[in-house]
Amino acid sequence: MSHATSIVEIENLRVSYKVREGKKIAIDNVTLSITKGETLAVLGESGSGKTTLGLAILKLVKVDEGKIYFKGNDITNLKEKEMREIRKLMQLVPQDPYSSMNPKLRIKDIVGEPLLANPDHVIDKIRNSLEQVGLDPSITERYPYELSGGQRQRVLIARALISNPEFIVLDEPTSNLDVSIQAQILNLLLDLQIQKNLTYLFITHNISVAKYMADRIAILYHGKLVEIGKSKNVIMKPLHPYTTKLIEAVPLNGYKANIREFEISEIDDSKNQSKGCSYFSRCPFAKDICKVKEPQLITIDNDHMVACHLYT
Amino acid sequence: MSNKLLSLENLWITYYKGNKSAYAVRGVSLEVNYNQVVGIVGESGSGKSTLGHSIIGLLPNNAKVEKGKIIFEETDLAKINKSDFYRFRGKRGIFMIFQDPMTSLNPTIKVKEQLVEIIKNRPNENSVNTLSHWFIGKVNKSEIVRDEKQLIESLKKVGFRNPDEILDKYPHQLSGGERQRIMIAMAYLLKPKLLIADEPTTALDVITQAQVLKMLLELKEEYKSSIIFISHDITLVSQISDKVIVMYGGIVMEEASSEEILKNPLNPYTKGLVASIPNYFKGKGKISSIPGFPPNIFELPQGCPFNPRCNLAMSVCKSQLPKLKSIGESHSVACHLYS
Amino acid sequence: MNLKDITKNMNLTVGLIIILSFLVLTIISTADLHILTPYNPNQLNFSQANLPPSSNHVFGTDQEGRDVFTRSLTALRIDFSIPFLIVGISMLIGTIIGILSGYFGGLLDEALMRITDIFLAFPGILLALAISEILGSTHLSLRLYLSALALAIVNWPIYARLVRAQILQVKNMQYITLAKVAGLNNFQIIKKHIIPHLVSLLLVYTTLDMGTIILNYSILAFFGLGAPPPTPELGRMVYDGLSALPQNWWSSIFPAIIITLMALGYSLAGDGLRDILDPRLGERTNV
Repeated sequence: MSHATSIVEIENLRVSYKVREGKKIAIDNVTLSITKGETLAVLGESGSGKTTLGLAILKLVKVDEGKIYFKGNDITNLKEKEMREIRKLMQLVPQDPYSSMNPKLRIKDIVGEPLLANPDHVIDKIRNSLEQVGLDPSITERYPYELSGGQRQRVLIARALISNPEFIVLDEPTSNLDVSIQAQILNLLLDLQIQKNLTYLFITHNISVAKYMADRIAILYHGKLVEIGKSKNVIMKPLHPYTTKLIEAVPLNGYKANIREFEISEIDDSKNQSKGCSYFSRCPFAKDICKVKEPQLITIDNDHMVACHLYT
Repeated sequence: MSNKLLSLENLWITYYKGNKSAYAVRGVSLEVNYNQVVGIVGESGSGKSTLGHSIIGLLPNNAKVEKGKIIFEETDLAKINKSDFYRFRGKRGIFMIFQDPMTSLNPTIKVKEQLVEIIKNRPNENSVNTLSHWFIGKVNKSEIVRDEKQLIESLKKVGFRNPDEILDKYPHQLSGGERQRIMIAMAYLLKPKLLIADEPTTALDVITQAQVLKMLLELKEEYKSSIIFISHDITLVSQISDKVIVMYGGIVMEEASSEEILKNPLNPYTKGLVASIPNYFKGKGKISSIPGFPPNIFELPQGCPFNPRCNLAMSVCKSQLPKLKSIGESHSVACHLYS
Repeated sequence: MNLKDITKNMNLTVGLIIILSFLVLTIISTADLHILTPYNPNQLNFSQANLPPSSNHVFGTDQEGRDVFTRSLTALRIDFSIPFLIVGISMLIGTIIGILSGYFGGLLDEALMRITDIFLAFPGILLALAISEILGSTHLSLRLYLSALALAIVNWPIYARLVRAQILQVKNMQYITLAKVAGLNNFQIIKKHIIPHLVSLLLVYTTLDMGTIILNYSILAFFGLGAPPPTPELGRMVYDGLSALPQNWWSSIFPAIIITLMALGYSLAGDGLRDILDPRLGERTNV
């Protein structure tokens, strides 16, 4: 399965967690691989499992079944001690720039944390990292509350870069920022990727951002991978009805989306469904087989894959 | 009779923090006609949210209208007492929906009771924290609906396939999208003349967002309500707005029809804003960003609030506030480049 | 700085003055009592019994002719210092349990919380009484420490709960997740991210707790569960003087006032600390 150039691979990954009524499956049998140097966007709504996917790859949540490979090595069952060195190579830029920083620590403590050393001993590296993300290196002594949202996000990026990682999971890194700042951060991420040959797993719910940033897009629905392919193909020639719906819902710049045509009712009955396609209750193209059999991922053309009975 | 439903005239609103104070809204004038959707777009520090709250009389304790008028159908809302405001809220008046409806719904009361309370004008003993207190106040004596069937109908209208189940739930048992639908259902029931929607879709996923937009559009078309749609997303706002107003640092930077503002933005800020939004329809090419950061109202620069970030800034921009000037039909811009 | 800030500071200032005054008195009393008073705390002198407060005897004398002021000063040696021991022990135990419970969660949390519940159910005074009874009169000198232990046992659950609650709050912060991504192990995370959050919380709470413990210990001493006589203890002195009330009020009332004053000092200081250390969220003006 491992391609020579893939840096991260997951095979039949399944992650669930306990809720009051039993178990909720966050990631359901997902298989995909990420090539070195590319950006894979994971697109989905809240509850789709996209954040959990990122955390699972970083070994921050317990995996029920399946395997995770990093640079060809099976890291699924590695213990924390064994992960320490690997962790330097895989980092996270989290979503909320406010709860992601301990308010009692200074910027230098926050940025230097991945180096596992006293920040004053590695202050040069810290300053360097801050400069790379366009921040004034003198902010090392400041506290988080003194910085704006955009500045904080840059600090988090500086932190993610400091251990010279190869792979970074970005969890909605610009969702909480003003639009004018968002563009700055996205462009910065693109520049850094080229400079340092980084591989990104970019988690977002925003299609436009996904297309702007990513080489490939993966669509998650209720924990299942329903479509994956090159960005251009997924957006211009969407295969899965859910993908089509997502695209229709996005207002385009200079072009009014057809709001009037939009279906309002959106109730999800998939909880009462035990088998079949989880999109069945909302799908305008649902057939009998969809209720009974879960569709598998199949390749349509040119690395564009979809899990839908419309194509079987 | 004039076509104007709401008219803000030279509005100045102050915020107090400790012993400091600053203007969040500086000399804003705008008009909303009957049956019109007006979008207000702005980022942090723009004053858009403050503006929205001031119209419905819900400014926090540390803010107040310093100067100017808020004329709603011939009454200046800026001059009336907080205790009298209820007369203008709710049924056939002004209604507001927020980004997170959780704070508008009392978590200890079932959905059904809360809706019933409002439509049948039966004030709840716990009414202090509920909608009826803040938005409806002492509603007009006439009932808004005759029976609960209308309640069910309105819930169906906002997309619930099983309204009976929903009525029986508590707010925390519903998702954000579901709660927002309930608020819109309330709007359908109240048929307000003016609905202020403050970032109603920011916390929602893309599909629900589109649905909310559609519902708002129906509110306008079926019930002839006017809507003030406040958001940071200019493309979103343009979807249903007749006209769009762009705010920055407390002032109106530009005002135009929704098509005009996207096709032909005049103010450098608006241009920057439009150019910085990733649009998947476009081909390759980087989005351009506006350098610098949105302002803190306690540290506003002299002159045009955007001047520190504007690559076309002239010396007059650093000293004088630009005034809104009309350029062509229904397009005005506040920028020294055009004065 | 507006008026509110000054009032808060006032609490802390007044509280600290009171506490430090008692500290100084205790130190002097322990080092050399006779700097402050010529009398001997345990010297019986029936001819001088029940004398009202005067320039000779500032707080008067008790039924056995002992100078109340001298006895009070001597009592401070125990009454001022034992609460530190009690609060110290309960805070230490409670904090460790709270950290284990809150940070690791799961079965450990369940088990520890049930144990905490059991201890919360113990009424401290009865526990002390029981221990006292079991040991009888053979280990009188130990009784003081056992009563202190009883109070500590009853007190630690509150710290455990407090610490656990704080940790649960912090545990879900993104920066904890990030610390794990950075490769910090649990011990390092607790030390770097969790403990600092606890420091201000504990500082405030232990200060306030001192006031409560002083009162609780005085109650135990009142019932004779403290140091064996004739060692003076404020609580016991209140009891001893009860029969002299209301005419010879000074032998009961002065010790009572001293207890109250000490407790008040800690209460005020704790309140002041809390107001200062409370995170200033600032007004998020959502403009």
